[in-house]
Amino acid sequence: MSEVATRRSGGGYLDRPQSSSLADVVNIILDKGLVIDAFVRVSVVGIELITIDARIVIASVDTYLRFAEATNRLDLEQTGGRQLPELIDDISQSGSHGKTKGMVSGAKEALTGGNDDEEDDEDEKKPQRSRRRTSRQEAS
Amino acid sequence: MTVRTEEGPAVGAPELYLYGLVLADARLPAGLAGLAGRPVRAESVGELQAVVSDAPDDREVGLPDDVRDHARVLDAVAEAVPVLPVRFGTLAPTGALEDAVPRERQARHAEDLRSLAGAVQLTVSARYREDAVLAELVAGNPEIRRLREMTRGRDEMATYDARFRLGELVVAGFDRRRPGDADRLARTVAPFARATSEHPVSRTGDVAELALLVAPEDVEALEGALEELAEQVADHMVVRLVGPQAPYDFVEEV
Repeated sequence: MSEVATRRSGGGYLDRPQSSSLADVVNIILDKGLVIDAFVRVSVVGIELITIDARIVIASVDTYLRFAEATNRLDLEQTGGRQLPELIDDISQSGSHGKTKGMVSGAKEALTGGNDDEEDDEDEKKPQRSRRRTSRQEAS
Repeated sequence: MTVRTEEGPAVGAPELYLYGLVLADARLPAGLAGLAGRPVRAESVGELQAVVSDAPDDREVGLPDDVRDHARVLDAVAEAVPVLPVRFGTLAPTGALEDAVPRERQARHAEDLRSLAGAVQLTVSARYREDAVLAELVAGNPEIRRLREMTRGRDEMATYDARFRLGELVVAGFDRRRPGDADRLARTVAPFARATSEHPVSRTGDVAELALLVAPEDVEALEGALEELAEQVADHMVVRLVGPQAPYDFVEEV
């Protein structure tokens, strides 16, 4: 088996980040946990865009067109008639960060600041000053 | 009672930011910093304690950094004592904590906290290596190959229908493949999980995502099993394991 590109902290194939990326955190914790009705809740700025966009992508014909495009971008000709297993090997080695970067992961990176799957994403972009806030008003 | 306006923070009492609930006798890790670097402390709420810090008073809560801090505090607390995470973004007026959790719910939460003792959450997810699966689909499906040839490098509008059909077949190809691979992931982690919560996967290319409640002594064995799986599937799949974390997925809604 070839050296498939996987980031790791333990030296293996399992992607095992030391700290969660913002995308992990959002994905795992947002909308989880006890809801305490009496109190004001605020939403995180910009995060709703990530989840909303993900839903739109699923629901729309866009997905089909994006995958058609991704399929067309695969450079099968360059393989010069080699067999499929070799081809897959090559593609795996180039990983999702090569020039044939996956469409969907690309879109997600754009949404989360371009480095959601790096272990260190401290330089995540700060949200715009024009914050939108959807605070749940307390019934009064 | 606090009413917030779009103009800014509440008028009146300063606010507390709520992270979670712990048992009355729980001791938080020392020196924990919360949102905006404010010190995290425990405040008594009947049979329980609320994990809180003063809310930032110069800005609203809701920055991506705040989400990160919320999770960081809860994960750190979870390493020391059982904790029930409160949903992100919960603010309470100072002095109103007693209203936070009605007495009749406190016993229930205390019970949940005791049952969570000695377990942490880990979240495992698997994604296809998109290009590898695409290459397989092109190689294995004559119709996909034909449509690809027909549309590649052609005018987008003129080939709209064919491209739509191509994408549809490709997405269907991912969908057909997913249940088997998702099942394999589930079977790999099952022996190590005290409880499992399956997240719905939505994006094409996602295989599965599972939140697992795991005893700390089983974490290493879980990592070992997943490492083995990740190696076996490395040509077409990436397996990712995040945690240990607070038990976000195992808080029972009351």
